[in-house]
Amino acid sequence: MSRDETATLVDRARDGSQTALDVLYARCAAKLLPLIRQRLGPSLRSDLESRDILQAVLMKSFERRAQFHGAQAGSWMAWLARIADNEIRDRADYRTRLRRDAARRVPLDEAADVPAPVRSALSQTILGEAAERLERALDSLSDAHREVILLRQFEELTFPEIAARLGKSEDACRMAYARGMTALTLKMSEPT
Amino acid sequence: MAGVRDEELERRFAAYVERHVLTGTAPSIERLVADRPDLAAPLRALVDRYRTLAQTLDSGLSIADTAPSGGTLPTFDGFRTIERIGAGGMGQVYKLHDLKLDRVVAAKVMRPDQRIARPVADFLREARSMALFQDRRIVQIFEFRSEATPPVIIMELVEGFELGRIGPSLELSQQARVLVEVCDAIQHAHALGIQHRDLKPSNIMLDVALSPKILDFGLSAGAPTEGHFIGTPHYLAPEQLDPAAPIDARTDVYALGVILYELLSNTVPYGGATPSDILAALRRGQPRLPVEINPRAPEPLQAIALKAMEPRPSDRYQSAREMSLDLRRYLDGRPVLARPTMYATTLESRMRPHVDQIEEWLRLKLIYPHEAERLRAAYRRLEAREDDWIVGSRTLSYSQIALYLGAFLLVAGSLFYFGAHRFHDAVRGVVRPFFALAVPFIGLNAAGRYLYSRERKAVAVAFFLAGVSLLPLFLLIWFHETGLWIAPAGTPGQLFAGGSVSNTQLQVTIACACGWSGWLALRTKTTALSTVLAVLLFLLAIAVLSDFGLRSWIVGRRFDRFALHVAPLAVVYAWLGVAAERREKPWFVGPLYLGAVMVFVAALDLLALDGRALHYVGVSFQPLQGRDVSNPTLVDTVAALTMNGVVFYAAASAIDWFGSAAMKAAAWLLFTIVPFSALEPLAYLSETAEYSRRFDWTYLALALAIVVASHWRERKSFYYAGLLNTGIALYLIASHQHYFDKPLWAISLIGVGLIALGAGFALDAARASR
Repeated sequence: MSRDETATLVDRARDGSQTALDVLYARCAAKLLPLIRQRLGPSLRSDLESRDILQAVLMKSFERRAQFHGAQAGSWMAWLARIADNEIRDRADYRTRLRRDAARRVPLDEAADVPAPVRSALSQTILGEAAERLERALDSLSDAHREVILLRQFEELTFPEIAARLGKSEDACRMAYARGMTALTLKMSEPT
Repeated sequence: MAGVRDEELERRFAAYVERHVLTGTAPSIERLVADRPDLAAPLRALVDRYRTLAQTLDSGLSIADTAPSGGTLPTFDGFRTIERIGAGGMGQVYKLHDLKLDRVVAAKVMRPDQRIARPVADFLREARSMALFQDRRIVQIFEFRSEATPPVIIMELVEGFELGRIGPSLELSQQARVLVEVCDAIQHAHALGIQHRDLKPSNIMLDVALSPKILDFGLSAGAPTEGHFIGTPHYLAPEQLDPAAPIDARTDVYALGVILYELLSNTVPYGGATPSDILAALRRGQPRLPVEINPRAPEPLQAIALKAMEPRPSDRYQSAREMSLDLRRYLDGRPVLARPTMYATTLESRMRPHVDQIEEWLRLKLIYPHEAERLRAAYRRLEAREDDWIVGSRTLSYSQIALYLGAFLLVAGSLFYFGAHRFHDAVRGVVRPFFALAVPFIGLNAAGRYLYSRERKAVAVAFFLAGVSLLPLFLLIWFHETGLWIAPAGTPGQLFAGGSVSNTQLQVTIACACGWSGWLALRTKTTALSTVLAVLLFLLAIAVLSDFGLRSWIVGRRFDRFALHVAPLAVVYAWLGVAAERREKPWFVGPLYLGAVMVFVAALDLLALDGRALHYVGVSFQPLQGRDVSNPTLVDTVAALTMNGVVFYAAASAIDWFGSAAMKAAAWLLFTIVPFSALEPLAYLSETAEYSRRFDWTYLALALAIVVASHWRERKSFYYAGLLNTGIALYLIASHQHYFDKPLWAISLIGVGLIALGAGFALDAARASR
C-alpha cells in the first residue's frame, strides 16, 4: 500500500465511505503495530503493551481524524506515527514516575466504546511468524538504516520529507535507504 | 542461500538495490553479472526476495504472507478460480466458482511435503455415509483430487475470521461460548468415531455471528496407531510424540485445552523458536499459568484449559462433551468441576526452592532443627490434598463444616439408638434397626461410591466416615436378635458382665468394621479413613483381650497383664506402618506410627505401676524402702517410672536418627512425652506422701529446674511439662502442709511471680542495652 492509496482511502473515508474507513484502519493497523514495536525497541516491547499502544493510537486517531487535513498535512501514516510517539513517551514518563499501573491499561474487550473499524482492525492485526522474523532482521540493522526504512516504508514519507526530517541531503537519504534495504534482504536470506 | 557469504554477490546485489532506489528503474541482472554468469541465479533469487520484502513492508508486517506473491492463479477442472484467499499450514487456499453446480467453493492445494495419514477419498466416503458433514459446524469437504499434483481438496467456502486472529478481541463469555460450540461439534464427530488430530485456532473459522466452523476434518484422522507427529507442534498432545501410545478422542480434547489456554493468555503454553524447542518444552510440561500472563484470565476457565491439557489422557476430560459441560457451568455462573493436577505440581515445584532454603538456613545454624521441622511441616500441609477431610484441610468451607457435623451427629445418634435397643429395651426386633442403621449405611456407601467416582472426594469421604459406625452397631443388634454368639448374664470371662454384648459378638463386629474401613482407606487413599482403621484396630485388640480376662485384670488392678498383652499391638502398628511406607501408601503411615507410639508409652507406664516392671526383671529395691512406708512397692514403681523416661528418650533419639521422615513425626511425639515422664516418678512419690515432706519441695525444685532447662533444650515441651508439674507440686505442697487457708502462701507466690516478671524485664533491658 503506497502513500497515494492511503491518501485515496483517507479521502473516501472523509466523504463518508464506511468501507474505506474499515479498509484504512485494517491496513494502517497492520503497519502501525510493527512501527510501534520498532519504536519501543527490543527491550521495551512486549506483546501486550504494544497492542495496548496500538489500540490507544487507533482510538485517538479515530477521534481526531477530522484534524488530519489530507495533502497539506503530509502522510497519514506519519501523522499516526506522531500520535504513537507521543503515546510511547507519555507511557515511558508515566512508568518512571509511577511504575506500571494496571488500571491504566484498558483491556480490549472491556472498552465498550471502541469504534467498529478500530475493533475489527485490532482483531485482524497479529504478528505472524514471518513478521517476527522481519522484526528481528530490522533489529539487527544499524540505527541509521533502520530509521530511514521506518520513515520510508512505515510512515510513508517521500525522500524530500525524510531529508527534511533527518537534516540530510535527499541523495544521502536515498543511499541510506538502499543500503538499509540491501542489508535487510541479506539478513532475511540467512538461514534461520 | 549457502552458508558461506559471497561478497562478490552481495556487492552486485547492493549495486542493484542502489540503482533501483536512486533511479526508480530496475537494472538488468544480466548486465550486472556479465563477467560472472554463475552468479545470475543467486542474484535473481536475492532480487526476488528484495521485491517481496518491499511489497511486504508496503502492506505492513502484521499480515505478511510468506507465500510467493504475484504469479498467475492456478486453474482447476470444472471451476473458475476467483482469487487466492489465504495460505494455511497445509497449503494455499483459493476461492473458486463451481461451473457445474453454480456455487462458490474453496480449494485447498496441499503443500507437496504435506503428509496425509490415509487416503482422503476413503475418509470422505466414510464421513458422508456417517453424515459427519450434517453438522453445520464442520466444514464440508466436497471432493478430493488425489491425482492432481499437488493434491487438491475442494471444500465448502467459509467467509469469516480465523479464531486465532479474532479470538483475542472477543470477550471471555464469547470465547467460552465459541469453545462450547467447538466442543459440541467435535463430540458429534467423536460419536461417529472420527477424530480431528490437528485442531488449532487457524483451523477454526468464525462467521459474523461468531459461530465456529471447523476446517480440515479428516485430513489427519486414522487408526489409533497413526497420527503421531502429525499436526502443528504447539497443539500436539504428549501421546502424539510417543509412537507406542495410542491416540484417541482425548487427543482432540488436549488440543481444545491448548486453544482455550491461548485464548486466555494470548500465547501458547509450550513456546519455542523451533519445533524441537516446542517439543522439549512440552516434555518438560510446566507451562505458566494463564493468570500469570494475563491477570484478568478467570480461574474457572484456566482450570478447564489446564484440565483438558493434562499430560496424561486419563487425567483429562474423557470427552469433548465433558469439557463442553464444564464450560457451560462457567457460562451459567456455577462452579466448574475441573481440578487440574497442574495446580498441585506447580505449587510443589515452586515450593521446592523454599524447602531447600530451609535446609540451607539449618545448615548455617540460623534456625533450630525444630523450627526447620515446623517450617517443613507448614509446606507439607500445602502439599497435602486440599479436600481430604477436615483435619488435613487447608481451608474450611461451609460444605465441609456441614458434612462433618452431619457425620458426627449421625455417629452420635446411632450410638444413642444402640443404647436404646441394647440397654433400655426401647426397640425390639430387627426390622426397625435395619431401617434406622443398615439402610443409611448402605445408602451412604452407595452415594459415597458414586460421588467418589465423580471426583467429589471430600463429600464421598465424609459419607464413608459417617457410615463406618453404623455397620458394627447394626451387626451387634442383629446378632442379639438372632441369638448368635450370645453369652448369658453372669457367664465368667465376659467383658460386659450384664450379657448385653458378648466377647465374640464384639470381636466379629469390630473385625468386620476393621475390614470395611481398611478397604475404604485403601480405595480412597485418605488419612481420615486410615485413622478410623487405626482406632478400630485398638478396639479389636481390646475385644480380643476380653477373652484373656481383661475384666479380671481391671477389677484386680493387674494393669501389668493388660500392658503385656496389649504391647504386641504396638509392634503390629509399627509393622503395618513400615509395610504401608514400603508399598507407598503414605496416607496409612501417620496414624499407624502414632498408634504404635501411644500403645508403647501406655503399656510401659501401666507396666511400671505397683513396681511390676521390676518384679518381672527380678529386681527389687524394696529393702531400701523405709519400714514405715505403707505401700511396699513404692520405690520399685518410682524406679520403673524413672526408667521409662530414659527408655522413651532413647527410643525417640533412635527413631529420630534412624527412622524415615514419617517416623520422625512419631519421634517428635515421644520427645514431647519425655519431660512429662521424667517428672512423673517424683510426682508419684510426692503424691503418695509416704516419705519426707521434703520430696514435695524437691519435686517443685525439679519442675522449676526443667522450666529453666528448657532454655538449653530445643523443645518447648520441657517448658510446658515444667510449668504443669510446678502447678501440681504447688498443689501437693499446699495440700500436704495444709496451706489452703494460709493467705501468706498465696501472697508469697504472687510475690515470687512479681520477682520473676521483674527479672524478665531486667534481662530484657540488659540485652537491649548490649
